[in-house]
Amino acid sequence: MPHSPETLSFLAAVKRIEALTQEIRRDGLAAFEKAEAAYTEVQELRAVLNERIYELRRRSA
Amino acid sequence: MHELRDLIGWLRQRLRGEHCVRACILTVEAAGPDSYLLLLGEAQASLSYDPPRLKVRLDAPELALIRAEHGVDFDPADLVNRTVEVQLRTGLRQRFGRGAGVQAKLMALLSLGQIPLEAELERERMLQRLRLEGARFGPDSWIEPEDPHHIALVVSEHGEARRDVEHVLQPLEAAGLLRLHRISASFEGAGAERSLAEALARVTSLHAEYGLSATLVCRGGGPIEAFRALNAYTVSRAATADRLPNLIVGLGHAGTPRTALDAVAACSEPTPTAAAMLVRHLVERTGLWAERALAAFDAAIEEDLGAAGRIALARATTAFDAALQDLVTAAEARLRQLDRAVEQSLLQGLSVAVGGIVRKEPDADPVEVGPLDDTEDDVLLSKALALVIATDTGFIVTRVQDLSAGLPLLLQFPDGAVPVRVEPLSSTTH
Repeated sequence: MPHSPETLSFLAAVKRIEALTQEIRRDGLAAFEKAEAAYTEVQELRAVLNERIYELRRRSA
Repeated sequence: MHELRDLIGWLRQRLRGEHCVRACILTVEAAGPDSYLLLLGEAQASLSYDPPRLKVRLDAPELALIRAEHGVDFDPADLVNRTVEVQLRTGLRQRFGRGAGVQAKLMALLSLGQIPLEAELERERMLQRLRLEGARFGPDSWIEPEDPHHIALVVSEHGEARRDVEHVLQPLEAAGLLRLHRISASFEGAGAERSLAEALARVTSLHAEYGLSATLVCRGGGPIEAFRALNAYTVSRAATADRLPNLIVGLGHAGTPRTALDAVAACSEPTPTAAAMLVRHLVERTGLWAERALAAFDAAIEEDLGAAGRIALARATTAFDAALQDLVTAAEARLRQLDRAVEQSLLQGLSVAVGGIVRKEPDADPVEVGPLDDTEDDVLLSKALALVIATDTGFIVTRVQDLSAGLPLLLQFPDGAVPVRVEPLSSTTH
């Protein structure tokens, strides 16, 4: 099912952060080292997800 | 030119009257104890985009009369979706500060139509046909959209349903969280069936283009006749799951009978607002998803950091304990060395002191024993032989004359003791 870039970005972000979480849960500190190395990527994922959360909170406020 | 009060008086005269009308009760809402507001619609749906509606008040005295005729258990809510013939009294209502308006009061219930079964039979026939054709529809066709974004909205251009749906979803659209594809359709009248089928076909093409997450089909309340098009085969066939994604319908209100489209839909909500709220909740759920994903990520990081910290702390504690143990061991060894040194020193001092006392005659004056000097010989002596002890008596031997041949001795050195025996040797001068 095709989506616009914005929604694809959200979906990609939320799925990527879930994948990172699973890696950390599975591989422990080794995966954490990888996540730390991907610090910039994690920050970008956070930005996308937090934007979604912020918009929804703002709308429901 | 007339004064405004003259116009109001003219209107009051014209609006005052009693009328017998045939209508369909669309909604009934309580307006006080034994007082209700009834919304009347057409008994036969018309082609109008703005179907006539009239709000009528039913007060306690008139309700008592109706109950006297139809039974004390008569509930005005039972009138919903029923065709009635009623006697109305109309007039001009002048409310302070709010202007004039038309008021209508229900004076008598002249006849009450039977609960229509025709529409239900038609709906069941149509659903049976769809099943025979193997069409996929109903709640089982619902596929939860991960990130609902493109939503099709099929709604009457002029109805209240559109306003209700827009009220709920427009803020989300303004924030860029979803995009509504609005498609107008006629829900009532002779052309309604074709209009709805065309609108749904348009949704199918939009789905191919954008990948719709859901399709909303909404209309407000109305007489049962006005819902006939929603029971039509062409409309329901165009709305099955193989053509439309996640069909959500909000048709009429809570009292509206189920239509075939309700049965075909993946999700049937009682009102347009409820249908729109469902979409809104789907969008809001993505926010919860994002929150949970971030929280889980942070928790994983935190727990792993905690585990790493605990491991490092355990290692440091173990190393500290080992170092401490080494220190204790070294200290104990050193203390043992000190003990021996002190013991040796004491014994040496004692030996010197005893030697001085023994050389003194018993009746001689006491000899003052001076402090032990750390002469070079003493130092060398302390590093060499420390003590000679007669093994038999345990006395410390301090003089040569106390020795005799064959006497067993114990030579106490700083690092241990050696048992020996005195054996005289002839000395030779070289």
